[in-house]
Amino acid sequence: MPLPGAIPILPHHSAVAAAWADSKGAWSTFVFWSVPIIIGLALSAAFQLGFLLPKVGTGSSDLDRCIELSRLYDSGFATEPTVVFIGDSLTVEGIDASAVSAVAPGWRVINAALNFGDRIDQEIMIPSLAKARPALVVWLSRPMQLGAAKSNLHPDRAAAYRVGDFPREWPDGWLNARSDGLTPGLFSTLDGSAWMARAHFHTWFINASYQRLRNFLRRGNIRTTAAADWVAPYQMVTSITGDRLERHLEAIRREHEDRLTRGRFPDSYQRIIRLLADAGVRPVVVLAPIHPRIRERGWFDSDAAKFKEFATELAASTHGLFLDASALLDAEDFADGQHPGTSGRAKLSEFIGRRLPVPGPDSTKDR
Amino acid sequence: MLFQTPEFLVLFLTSLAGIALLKHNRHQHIFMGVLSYLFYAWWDVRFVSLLLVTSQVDFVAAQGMDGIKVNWAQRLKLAAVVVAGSFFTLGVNWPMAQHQTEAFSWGEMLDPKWTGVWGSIGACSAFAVLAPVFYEFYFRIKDPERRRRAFLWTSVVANLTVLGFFKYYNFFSGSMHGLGAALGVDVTLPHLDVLLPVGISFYTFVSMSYTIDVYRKHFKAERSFLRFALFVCYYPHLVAGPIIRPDNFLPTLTKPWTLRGANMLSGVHLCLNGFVKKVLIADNIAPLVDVVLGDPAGQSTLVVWLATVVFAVQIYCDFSGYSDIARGVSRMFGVELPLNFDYPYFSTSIIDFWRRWHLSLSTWLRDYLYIPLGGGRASPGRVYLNLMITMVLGGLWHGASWNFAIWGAYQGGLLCINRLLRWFCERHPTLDAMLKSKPGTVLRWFVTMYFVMLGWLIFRITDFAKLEYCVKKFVLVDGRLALSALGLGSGNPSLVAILLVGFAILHTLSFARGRIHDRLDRTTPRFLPPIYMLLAIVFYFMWPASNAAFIYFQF
Repeated sequence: MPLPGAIPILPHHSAVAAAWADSKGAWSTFVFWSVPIIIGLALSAAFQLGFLLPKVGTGSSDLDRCIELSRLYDSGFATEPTVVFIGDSLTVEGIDASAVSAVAPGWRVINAALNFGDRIDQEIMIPSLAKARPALVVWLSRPMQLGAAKSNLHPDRAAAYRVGDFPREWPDGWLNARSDGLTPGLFSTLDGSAWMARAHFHTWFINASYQRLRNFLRRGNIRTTAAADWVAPYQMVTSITGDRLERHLEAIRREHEDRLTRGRFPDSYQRIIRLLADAGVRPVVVLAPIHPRIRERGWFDSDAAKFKEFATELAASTHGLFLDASALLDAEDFADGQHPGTSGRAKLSEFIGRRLPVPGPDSTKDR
Repeated sequence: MLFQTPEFLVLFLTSLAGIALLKHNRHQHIFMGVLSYLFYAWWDVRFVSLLLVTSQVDFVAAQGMDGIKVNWAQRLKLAAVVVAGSFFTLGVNWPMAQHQTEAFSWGEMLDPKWTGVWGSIGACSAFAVLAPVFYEFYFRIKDPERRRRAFLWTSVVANLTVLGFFKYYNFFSGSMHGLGAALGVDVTLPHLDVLLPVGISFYTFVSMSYTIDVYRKHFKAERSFLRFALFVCYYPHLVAGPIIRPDNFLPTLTKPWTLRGANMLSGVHLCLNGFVKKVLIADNIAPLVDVVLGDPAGQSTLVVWLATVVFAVQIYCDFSGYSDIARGVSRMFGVELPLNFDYPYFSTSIIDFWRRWHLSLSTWLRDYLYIPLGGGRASPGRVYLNLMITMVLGGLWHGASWNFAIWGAYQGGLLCINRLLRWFCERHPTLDAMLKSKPGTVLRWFVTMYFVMLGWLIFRITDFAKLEYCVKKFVLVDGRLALSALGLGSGNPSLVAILLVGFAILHTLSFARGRIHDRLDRTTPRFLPPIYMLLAIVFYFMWPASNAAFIYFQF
């Protein structure tokens, strides 16, 4: 048997591979197949980590947005009075930053919401946002956000937050493997090596093909926005009615009940708000619009009342604001059972914009 | 430990180095045995003691059948191994260390906090104490045939008790409760939080095949416990097969394993073939199946058909991919494991399908269940009954759930109909000739695949309301062409479409012109490095971000 690591002589073109390998011995054959595989993997990794991720992104605009958010927060909001909207797709769809600016002059308005941006997403990002020190942070919430996470954080999201380096700003013990919405595996991604997190996005082609297919199938129903669009990131351009709307309302009811039955985490919500307040950021909690059909049926009445009581007390104790927009919109203002449509977006943006305080000398970093 | 993880790569490379460096076969066996137990313990260390007990029962039983009396010193040594093994794997606080549920501390090592630990250690210790005594008692049976039978039944009962307890206890207690409720009687058996040991159905069958073969005198009892334990726990086949037989493996242990260039090349080709099936195809198409069949309400016939076909490809690629990797790894060590799949989706009858799908299980069921029941050499009624019994038990082997029993009964029913049709065609030569013509073969293939696909729905969906909906949609065509649901959720239909087309082309070429990995073995060597490099690039970009377990691990 040849010595381990012996480099095989280039094979004769007419040889049959198996017979040729037998003549060369086991270790030479091992080198013969393992070296090209290692080279292939190394080239791929170099291309993905050196070009694709930094230049093209992850292949998914939602994941790219997570990474872009870290860049936005890193740049800070020192130069002008800034109000940042955070939240999930309801905020993505419901807030047009330019419409807010129009009725709240003097403010730089940023819509930093994320699709699927649940409470755990906010917990991960909020220390970085607090460090960037905007004057105001507006969080559009639903009563169900005091309940358990809809599901655990997606592994892609965990990797994107790690690439964005959000965990760097976490106070000691801020999150751990048992936090609601996390698992030991997800926490180790958030807490682990940045290179491993970058390598996680080796599925660029899969992500990109999925993103393109979604956009293609939903053409006419959604618009594609840039990952770093902080003004008008909304996507829905049509609305649903009839049976589809009823099915969506039923799905929202199920999600609401499921999350609030599985657990309640007001402390978690509270500490996000308190962290902002402690950093000198004024929090604004908004109870998001509820579809009239849900209001008529009284599905969320008791939980919405509890949320109002909770949020009012929280706002009072943090010098923040609480705004109740739950009954603001009519049925035609919604694109579906929960996301505002075009008219809803205008109404909600104006409603919040008009209630924002006038920016004063304490609205910048130098206050 | 999954085959597609870095831990497995380390284990595999360590195995190669060990085989190369250890020249004595006994040293190799110890080394591979330790690695195989490590492979199993990686999933859950507690069940290592179960593997040990299973091996010991069958080893000793086979010795007894062959009339070899293990002396007291050896018996006590084996008992000590079981007690020490159970204390080590069950008594110490491994779950804390393994699952990282809480910070590991040495002080907690002897403070097990999980339910059932003392019961489990007690059971192992009782076994260790009682087994040598029972063994002595068996040897006092004068009639050798009766003694052999006593050892066989001990082995069979012990194996099936372990399998039944861990796999079927809660299913049985739940079913009894349901039956009692239907009859108006309260039958409540305690619900136990029993974890299903990974691969238990596979290694139990491997071990049982040995004792039955020794009883039938097809095989001499193995004299070395080390060799027998390695036969049961050899890691390439341990958790998902192929279900090996003693003559597949034990003869390879008589001389040292040596690494050969041809095996190293051919083995890696099999592994690459398996990884393409498992990682590139099965894992990438799985989300679409989960989206549609996980919540099928409102889906059209077309979507249910597509999802069923995708699932058929997924389960084939997942399981045959695993088998290929297992065979490839083993081939590199110099041990040939049996073929498990032989192009089942090119079957032209259900009988043909079962000669091509999961061969190691279907031949096991044939040799150890169907034939002992009387097989095909009995009255027609009895043959059909034998088929039904075999297939229902084969279905239940897959999992403790009624849908698997129904799936088994469905397959048994199809096999009976197939036999009946074959009997009918033998008496009608014109019809037989028509069905054997090219269009007839295409028709037979189409009909076979229709029923195989319908069977996969029963196999995949455990919720009866969802199953009923899907079966209705599958059978009663609704004419709706809406595909919109395929664009939502986490499934990626465009990728699935590309992978399905790729699979269909490669699989057909492979069927028509020889297996791809065999062709790679015969190709000109200078073409291989670019192929390896290209595959590595494809793997890098297409390897799913999260490693999914093999479907058959749960069985």
